[in-house]
Amino acid sequence: MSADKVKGHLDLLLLAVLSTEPGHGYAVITQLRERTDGLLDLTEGAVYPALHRLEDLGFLASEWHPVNGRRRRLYRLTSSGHRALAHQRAEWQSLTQAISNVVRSSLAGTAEA
Amino acid sequence: MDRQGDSPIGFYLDDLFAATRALPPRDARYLLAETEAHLRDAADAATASGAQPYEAELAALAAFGTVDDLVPRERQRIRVPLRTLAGQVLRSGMLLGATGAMAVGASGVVAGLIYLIGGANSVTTVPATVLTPHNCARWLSQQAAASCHQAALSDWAFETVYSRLALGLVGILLLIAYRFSKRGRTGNSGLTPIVTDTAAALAFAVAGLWTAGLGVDAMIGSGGQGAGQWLSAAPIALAAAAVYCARLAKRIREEPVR
Repeated sequence: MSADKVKGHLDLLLLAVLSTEPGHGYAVITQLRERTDGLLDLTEGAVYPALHRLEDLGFLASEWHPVNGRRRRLYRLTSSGHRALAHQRAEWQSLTQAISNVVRSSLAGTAEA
Repeated sequence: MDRQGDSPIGFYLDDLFAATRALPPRDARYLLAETEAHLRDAADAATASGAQPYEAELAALAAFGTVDDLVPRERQRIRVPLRTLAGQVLRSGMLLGATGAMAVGASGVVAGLIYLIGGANSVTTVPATVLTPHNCARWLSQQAAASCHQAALSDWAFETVYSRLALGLVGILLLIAYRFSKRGRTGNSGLTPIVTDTAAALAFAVAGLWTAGLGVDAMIGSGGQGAGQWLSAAPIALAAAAVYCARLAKRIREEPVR
């Protein structure tokens, strides 16, 4: 899946990954890759401005910690972040449901024809 | 290979360092540190999978994207458009204004109770200079009172209570308008909560201490006459200041200021 398709949903993806446990940027990207079986073709560097923006919005908080001998910035969801995730998740589910309904009806139409 | 100098990652970090000079120092420092940790992790993972160190670094850089792609995104994040900033100030102003007006409304309720218990004299004072024949004729025409002074007291006490209640109503309407202005937006749509909470805590604390001081002064200096107009406001303002201080402390604990 191209980066363009991911672009509009990057916030949701990052919030969803960090909702399970705090993580640094590389771990977040690794998680995204593993959970999507490598389907998401994401420019890894783009994740950092997005994480910083989510922190500016108050959805994430970060602290520096040494992990495996390297200093890393660990991000975690704040209570506002959990609320934003719930909101964006609900929007996403409505959108996918609506698109799915249309696609399914077109499939049914094709089958009847 | 010299990991800090003549390596692909080293060169990339040099370029990134040069490109981030326009960023605020802390943002630049954080971005450099995070980028280096990320690239070293990615290169280590590739090496562990069997790649040669040099190729592993190249692969890490290819996946990460170019400096020209990364830095403008970061700059764009940091730059707040004037229109967005104006909107944030307006929405925060609406929320703070609504809170302040509702606090005044609540003080009107307290002033009303003091009025019912202690009479008009307890919530207002009328200086002798306003007791002109013209004013007295107007006040006495509006109500049955034993004297012009009594009529003036009732009129002013009534205004003290009802003008505050009216302002409280304006606050509720402003809050509704604020909620409407937030529709369709996720999260905070105003200024940073730490900024607004600090402003509100300070404003309420100053108002609370100021009105408490005036109330105590009226109790001591004027035998309590008119003290209710101040003492009805002080506890509300101080309680609001305490609430905002508690919120602020919680936010600072949860989201440390960078």
